[in-house]
Amino acid sequence: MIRATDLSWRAGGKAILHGTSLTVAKGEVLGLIGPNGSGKSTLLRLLAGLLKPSSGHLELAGRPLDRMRQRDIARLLAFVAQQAETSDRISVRDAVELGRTPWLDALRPWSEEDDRHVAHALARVGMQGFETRDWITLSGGERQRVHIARALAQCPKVMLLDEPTNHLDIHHQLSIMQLVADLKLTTVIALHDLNQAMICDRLGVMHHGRLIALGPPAGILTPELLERVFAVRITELTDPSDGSRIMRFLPLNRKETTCAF
Amino acid sequence: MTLALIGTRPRRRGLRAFHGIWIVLILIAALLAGICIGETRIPVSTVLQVMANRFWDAGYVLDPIDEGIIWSYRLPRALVAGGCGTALAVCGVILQSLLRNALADPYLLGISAGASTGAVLIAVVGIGAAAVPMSAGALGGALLAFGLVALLARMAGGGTGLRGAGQIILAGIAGSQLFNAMTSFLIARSANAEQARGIMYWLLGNLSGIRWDDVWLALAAAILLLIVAFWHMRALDAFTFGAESAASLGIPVRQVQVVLIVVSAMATAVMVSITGSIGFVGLVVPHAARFLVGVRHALLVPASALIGMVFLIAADIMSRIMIPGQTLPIGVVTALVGAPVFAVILIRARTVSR
Ligand SMILES: Nc1ncnc2c1ncn2[C@@H]1O[C@H](COP(=O)(O)OP(=O)(O)O)[C@@H](O)[C@H]1O
Ligand SMILES: [Mg+2]
Repeated sequence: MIRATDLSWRAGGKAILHGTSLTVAKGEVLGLIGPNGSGKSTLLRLLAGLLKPSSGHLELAGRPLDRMRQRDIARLLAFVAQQAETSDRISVRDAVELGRTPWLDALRPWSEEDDRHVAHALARVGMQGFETRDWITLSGGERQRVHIARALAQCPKVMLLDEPTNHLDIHHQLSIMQLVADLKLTTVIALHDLNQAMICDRLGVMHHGRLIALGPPAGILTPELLERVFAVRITELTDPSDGSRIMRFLPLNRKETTCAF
Repeated sequence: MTLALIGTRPRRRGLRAFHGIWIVLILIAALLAGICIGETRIPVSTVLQVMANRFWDAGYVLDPIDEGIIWSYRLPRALVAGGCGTALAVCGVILQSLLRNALADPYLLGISAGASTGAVLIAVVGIGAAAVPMSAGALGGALLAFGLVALLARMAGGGTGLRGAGQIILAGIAGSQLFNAMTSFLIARSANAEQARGIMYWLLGNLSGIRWDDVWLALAAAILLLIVAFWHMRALDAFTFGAESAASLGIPVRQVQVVLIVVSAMATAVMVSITGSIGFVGLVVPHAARFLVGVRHALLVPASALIGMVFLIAADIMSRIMIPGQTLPIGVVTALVGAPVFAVILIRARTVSR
C-alpha cells in the first residue's frame, strides 16, 4: 500500500529525517517506535502528504504521492494527529462529519449515505450515543476515539496514527490499541509504549531521524537495540497468565553491583 | 440569499422553504425600515408606491421630494449598509475560521486601516475619488496590511490558544496604528483643509453621499464574497482542528487560504473605499450568529450575512436619528455596540481556554 524510497526531510537547514525506506503491505499494522524527537511524527506527516519530502519518493496504492491531489489522498488515507484540539463549540457528530469532507463538494452535497458512514464510524469506536455531546465536555480518551471515528468516516484504506494513546489512562490505552488492531486496515502507528508495540505485525525503530531497524516485534525489541536507542536497560519477563513477553525498564547507568563504600 | 440554504443537512430539508421565506421577509423588512425611518419619516405605502413606479411604471402621483429622498438617498444608503454589513460579517467568519482566532476581524487585524491608506493614497495622488480606482488602491493597502500583521504575529510567536490570539490582535493594533499614521501623514501632506475634513469624516465610517454606482459595486463585492464563502463552506469547517487537520481532510490548504484571504481583503477594500472603515461588525456578528445557529459554516455563513446586513442597516438608522438634525458616522455607532461585545468575548475566551 505504501512504498517510501530514500525519504529525507530538511527544515531550517537541518536534516530531520534521513534516507528512510519502507514498504507497508495491505492490511499490515506497522508500529513506529523511538524516543521523543526521533522523527516519528515527521515520517508520518510525510507519508500522509502533509509535508513534501526534500528528496526521495513516495507511493500510495501504486501512485506517486506528489502527483495526487490532497483530496484523493484523503480518500485513501486518514491521519490522526498527535494533538488536534479546538475551542469551537462543535458536537461529536459535527467532528465525525468532517471525515466526509473529501467525498463532498458543491455538486455532491451531504446525503443519507454520509449519515450512514458517520453512524457506522461512531459505532466502531464505541461512541454511539455521544452524537450531541459538546467536544469540550469529552475526556481525553473520548476525544481520541472521536478523532479515530472521524478518520474512519473518511472510509480510508490506510490509517496513520500518531501516538494515539498519549496522555490516556491505562484502560483507554488498551482499548484504543485493541480498536486499532480490530480495524483490519493498513495501519502505521507511532507508539511510545514498547509493550503496546508488541501487537504490531512489524516494528520500525526510529533514532535520530533514521529508521534503524525494521522487522517483526520479537526480532526487533532486543535488549541491545533498545539500550542503544532508548538509553535504558531492559529485562524481559514472562507473564505467567498467558506466556507473553513483558519488558521492564531500568536506567542504564544504575550499577547493579554493590556500592563502593 | 436563496443560496443560503444549499448544503444544510438533509434532515432539515423540510425546513428549507420555511427558512427561505424568513430570510426574504427579514431582508425586505430591514430595507423598508432603513428607508422609512429618518429625520423625515416616510410611510411604508409611499415607499412601496415609489418602488412600483420605478420597477413597473405604476404611475402613482407622488411628492417629488419624497420620491427623491427615497430613490436617490435612502434606498442606496440602505442597500450599501446591508451589503457592507454582509461583507464585513462574512469576512469575520472567514478570518476567524482560517486563523483559528475568535477575535479575528478585518478592523482589528488592521486590514481596514491598510485599505484606508490605500484608498486615501489614490484619492490624494489625484487619480480621483471614483469608487473603482479607490477600491483598487484599498485592496493593495489591505493585502499589504494583512501580510504585515500576519508576519508580525508570527515573529511574536503566535499560534492558536489565547496567547496566540492575543499576539495577532496586538500585531493588528500595531498595524492599524502604523497605517492610520500613514493615512494622516498623506492627508496632512497632500490634501487641502476641505479635502482633509472630508477624508477624516469618511474614515470614521460614513454612509453620506452614497450614489447608485457605489450600490452596484458594494453589492457585487458582497455577493462575490458570499458565493466564495459558500463554495468553501466545507473547507472552512475542515479548519476546526487546525490547518494540518484540514489538509489531512483533503483541503488544498494554501490555495484555500489565498483565495479566501484575497477575496475577503477585496470585499473589505471595496467597503472601505465606499464607506470608510466601519469597525466591529466582523467581530460581533459572527459571534451572535454562532450563538444562534452553531459553528457549522453551512448555516453560519448565511446567518452571519443576514445578521450583518440587519445590524448595519439598524446602525445606519441609529446614526441618523440619535442626534436630531445631525448624522453620526456609522462607525461611531458600531463601535458603541461593538466595543462592549468585544470585551465580553475577551472575558469569555479566557474562561473557555483557561
Ligand atoms: N517544522 C520543523 N522545523 C524544525 N524542526 C522540526 C520541525 N518539525 C520537527 N522538527 C524537529 O524534528 C525532530 C523530530 O521531530 P518529530 O518527528 O516530532 O519526533 P517524534 O514524533 O519522534 O517525537 C525534533 O527534534 C523536532 O524538534
Ligand atoms: Mg511525535
